[in-house]
Amino acid sequence: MTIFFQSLLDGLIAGSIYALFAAGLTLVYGTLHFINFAHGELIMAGAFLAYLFMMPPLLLSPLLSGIFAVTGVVLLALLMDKTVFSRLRNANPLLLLIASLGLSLLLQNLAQVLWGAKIRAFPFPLQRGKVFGPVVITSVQITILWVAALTIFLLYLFLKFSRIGKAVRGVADNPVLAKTFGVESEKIIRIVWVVAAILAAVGGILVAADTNLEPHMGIVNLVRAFAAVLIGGAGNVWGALIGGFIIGLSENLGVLLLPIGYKDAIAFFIIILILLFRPEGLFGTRWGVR
Amino acid sequence: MESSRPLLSLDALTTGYQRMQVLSGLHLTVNPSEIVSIIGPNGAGKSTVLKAIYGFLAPWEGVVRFRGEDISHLPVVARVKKGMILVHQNDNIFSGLTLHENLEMGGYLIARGSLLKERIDSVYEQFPFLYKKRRQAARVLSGGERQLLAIGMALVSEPELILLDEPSMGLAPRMMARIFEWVGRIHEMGKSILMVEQNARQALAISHRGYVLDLGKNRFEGRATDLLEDPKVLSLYLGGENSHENL
Ligand SMILES: Nc1ncnc2c1ncn2[C@@H]1O[C@H](COP(=O)(O)OP(=O)(O)O)[C@@H](O)[C@H]1O
Ligand SMILES: [Mg+2]
Repeated sequence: MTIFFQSLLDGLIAGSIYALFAAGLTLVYGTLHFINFAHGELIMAGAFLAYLFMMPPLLLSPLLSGIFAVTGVVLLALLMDKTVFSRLRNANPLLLLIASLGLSLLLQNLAQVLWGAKIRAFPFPLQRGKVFGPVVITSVQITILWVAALTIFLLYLFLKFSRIGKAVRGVADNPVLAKTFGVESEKIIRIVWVVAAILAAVGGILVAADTNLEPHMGIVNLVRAFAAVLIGGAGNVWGALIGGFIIGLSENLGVLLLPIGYKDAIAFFIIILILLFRPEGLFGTRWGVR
Repeated sequence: MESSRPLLSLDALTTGYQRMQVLSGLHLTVNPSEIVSIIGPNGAGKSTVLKAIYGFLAPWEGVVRFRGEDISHLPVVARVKKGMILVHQNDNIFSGLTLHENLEMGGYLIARGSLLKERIDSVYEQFPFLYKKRRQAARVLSGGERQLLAIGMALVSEPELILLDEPSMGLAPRMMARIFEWVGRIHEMGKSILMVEQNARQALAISHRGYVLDLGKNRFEGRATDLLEDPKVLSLYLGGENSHENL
């Protein structure tokens, strides 16, 4: 029973991070209509930039490193859009997908050249877990949970209550109508990249804090995010958030039943199931970016 | 009214999609406080005229003027700021947004929150059903309610000119009458209206003037009452009782 509750907690922690990845991926899908493979590298870049700022010679605090890393990833996403995606605005989604795949490989290789393929970890002192009833949780994990929760809450406030956030949803819902009321889609697209990059970078830093970081960490997390997006219905932000938690929980509870080596396969398995039986997602795309 | 400067004028407008020309040398004016209808068969280019006025299509030749100013090459957002709004023929609401959020989108360019709220409240006063359902997603609305929401969204921006693309399309006769009644009321609020309609008789009945469009060209124009009695217009475009109803 203890192991069940511990896995549940681990699943919630992982799920809260995957929710951030998935929300950003689905937001880009909802407004630009392609799955951005390079979203994984925004995640990776967040982790590596934070690592860069925390390590010698800079040795900044985790908070400051995080803020600089998120800013760097936002700039990277805007650069990606300006140099590649904006030139393909009305192109076939397949072309966009392939372009993003190319960017993804480029950034992975760049990271490998800069940092090598070695698996690294943030320079945190060894964690001693605190015991809460049946579960053990480290202070890093507690931080992960509240940072993820706060980020999701801020995303909700932004999309639900801000003028620009509502325009983002409007563009995703009906771009021609949004334009009719004076919404300039290029401006909204830039906002979407900023938000998606923040979500990816925060999540990337959190996942590196929870586990470790290496240049190819983007891919496995992209697969999880993609599975979560499909569960939620492509373009549906709230669905993607829930999907993220479902993936985190299934991975961590699934290993109670399956050999540990299958952990990374669970997201793939869910992708296949959803595509076969419920391609519109559990909640349907009708929610859209709402 | 004829002597004052027109609010909107199209001068020899030619445009189309990619390589396909749709409008050929079109002339059209809307004077302040006028209801003007464009009628004509399906595919005549009526929606295309509205898209060209609104900036969704750039003119190939000719000029679009608003209050005498050449706006032919302004982007949509600049034209909205000048005081016009387009109500599309289809997909004219955000189906996943709540009714209230739809109205807020209607006033997207109103930066001051208090002013936006005031405008939305006045739309709620005119359409109480919108207020009752304000927290529901717009997809729950019936066809007629959707059309009224679309008109409400257009009113939030307090435009001088409303471009209405087939507001009665696909509606039951009772709802249709309600829509035309609303067009009249909006006119009484002092707005000018350029309306495209398949439902030619009813549209002309509430209009001051009308244009008959066919194959992207002006065919007939004049006072609405004259068009309704013109034998050629009657036989070619208003022929047969209720011939328009099932289009
Ligand atoms: N987006 C578009 N792309 C290409 N052709 C179009 C488009 N919209 C309309 N058309 C064509 O332009 C012509 C006029 O269409 P439209 O203005 O919608 O007619 P109406 O509103 O009078 O029924 C038609 O032949 C139609 O097929
Ligand atoms: Mg039409």
